[in-house]
This record gives sequence, C-alpha cells and structure tokens, in this order.
Amino acid sequence: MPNDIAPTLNQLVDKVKIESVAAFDDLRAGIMDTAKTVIIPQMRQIATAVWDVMDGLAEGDYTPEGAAELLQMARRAAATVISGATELLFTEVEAAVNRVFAALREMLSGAVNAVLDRVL
Amino acid sequence: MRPSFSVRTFSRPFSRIAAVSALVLALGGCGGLQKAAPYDPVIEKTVLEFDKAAMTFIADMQGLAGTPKGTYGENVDFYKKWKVELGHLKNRAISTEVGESCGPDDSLNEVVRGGAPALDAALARGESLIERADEQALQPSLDWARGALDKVRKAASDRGINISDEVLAGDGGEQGRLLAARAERWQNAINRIRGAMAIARREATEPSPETFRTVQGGCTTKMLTYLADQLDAMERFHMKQRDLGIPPRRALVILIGVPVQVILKVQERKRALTERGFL
Repeated sequence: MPNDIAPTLNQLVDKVKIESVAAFDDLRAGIMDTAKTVIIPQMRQIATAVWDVMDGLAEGDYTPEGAAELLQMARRAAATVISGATELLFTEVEAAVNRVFAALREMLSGAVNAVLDRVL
Repeated sequence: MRPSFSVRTFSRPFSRIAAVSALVLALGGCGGLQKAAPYDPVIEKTVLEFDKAAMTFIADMQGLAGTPKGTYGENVDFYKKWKVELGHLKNRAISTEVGESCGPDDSLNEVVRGGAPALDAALARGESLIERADEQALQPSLDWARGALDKVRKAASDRGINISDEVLAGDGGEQGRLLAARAERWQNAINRIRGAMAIARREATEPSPETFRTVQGGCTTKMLTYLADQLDAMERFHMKQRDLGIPPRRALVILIGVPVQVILKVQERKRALTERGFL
C-alpha cells in the first residue's frame, strides 16, 4: 500500500496480525528445527564420543593424557552446541520481529519509518 | 457533544506515530531484544574449508596410526596453518559481533561445568584423568619428542651428516636433506610442546584455575573461539598420544565435527533468512 494513503487502525491491526501469526509459525518451526537438528543429535554424538574415549582407553588406543584431552574437548563441543542453539534462537526471534516491522513499513509514512529505523 | 472515537482517528499522523511507537516498544522489549550477528560468508567458507582439511588430515593420520609417519612430530604443519586461519576467523567474529553475551552466561557455565546429566555421568568416569595438570600431562610428550629428535640426529650422524640445532641443512645429498627436514619438524614439535606447557603453567597460576574455561562475548564469538580452542586441544591430544598417533576411532572426528556442524548450521539459517529479507 502506498505511504501517502493513510491506513485505518483495523487495516493496520489486520496486517500486523497476519504477519505476526506467520512470523510466529516460522519462529516455532525454527525452534523445533533447532532442537531436532542441533541440540539432540549433537549431544547424542558427544555422548558417543565420550563412550568411545573410555572404550579406547581400556583397549590401549589412547594414552591416559590423550583421553583426558578428548574429554575436555567433549565439554567444549557441548558448549558450542549450546551457543549455536542460542544464536539460532536469537536469529529466529530477530527475523520474526523484522518481518512484522517490514509489514508495518509498507503501510506507514516516511516519517514514521525514520523513527522505526532509529529504534531498531 | 460526545467525542468520537472512530478508528479513522488513528489515520492522523500524530496518533499513528503514537500507536506505532507503542508497538515498537512492545515488540522491541524496550531495547532488551538480543541481536544476532549477521550472516558472514567468510565464516561459512573458511569453516567449510577447515572441515574438509581436518577430516582429510584425521583420516590420513588414522591410516598411519602406530607408525612414525603418523606421530605429532611429523605432522606439525597442519596445526601451524589452521591455528592462524581460525585465529583470524575468531578476530573477525569479535570485530563484527553485535551482541555482548550469548544468553545468560550462568546457564551455559552450568552446562559446561556440569549440569548436563547424561554427559556428566559419562564424564564422571574420566574425572580422575581430567584433574591431571596439563603441564605435567605434557612432560612425557616432551621427553618422547626429544628422544625422536635424538634418533634423527643419530641416524644422520651414522651417515656422516652433522645436524645441530643451528645448522639444519646437512651436506649429505638427498638423504641429508630429508634428515635435516625431519630434524626441523621434530625441533618445531618440541618448541610447540614447550609452548603448550608454558600456557598450561600460566593458567595454573591464575586465581581460580579451571580445567575448562568459558568464553566471553556474543554467540558467534563464542562458537569460533571454541572451534579454535578445539584445534589447540586436538594438537595437544596428538602430542600426548606420542607413538600411538591418532587411532582409527570415532571420538576425535565427532569432537571436531560437532562444532563445525553447529557453526555451519547457524550460518546456513542466517543465509536463508537474509535471502528472504528477514535479517
């Protein structure tokens, strides 16, 4: 909608509602995807690695010092998974908010958009 | 006369600004919204290249496990190259980072220091190993590397070639050059083991020495710092394995692969959202 035609409140609310619901659906799908493809499988892999370290140590494939280093690596890998999942959540939330504001921008005047640009 | 509250009232510019301002504050959480770092194609490309190089290197080393060619001292160059690359990537992330933290640090600390029950249960079995001081844990590797260098020098000496610390280029033709190059690699390995020991010693004297340190900064900075630290740890692991080298087992592949996959997943999602115009 062109900016020089003033929208009604109902039009504004409807537009925000539609975009918010779509953005929330995307956000929810993104969060579920994060859990399914990042947190759960990666933590399972790390647990497998820890098991392999203990098994390899018993079989003489790892020196005790080498095994200890791998266990430290397992903790660091877990920290990376948590940081990555958190970053994905921030990204999804930011994308959802941006999407709603993009819808608003389409309807509002240049002056209001300038205010939005300063705030965001 | 009763005032009118028609919805058209909000079509006046001032009222519209007020309404939108309220919405902005509500959605923006009064400035509390955590911003994510932007999509960075350089991070994606470099991490992909590292993944390829690391998986190839590990596979090669696993094929050479238990042989002299698979030992740390013969393969220092891989670590030298990628330590620089990942260090650069970490600095790039720090310079472009928009967030100052990655969620509540307390929660992350709880996970990495204890708090993930399944992982902790598994790690508890190796707790006594983790408590060993790092400097002390590297001493056998240093002795071993010195022994390996002595063997190379003796092999050279038996052929009448003199290889000292200062003069690495022998005059024994092709054989001499190969031995000199091996001696140089092992001397380099000794220097790097000493360096790792010095870092461990310095960290042990800090006020509250910990076996695992969490990183400050935004999420991307954290992830890339952890990846760079993971490569350092892989190098120390290789040192500490001495003659065993890197055995054909799953742990190392997983522990390098997990951070790589997570970083790539984050960048891939950011790229998709950027392409759709949402970031």
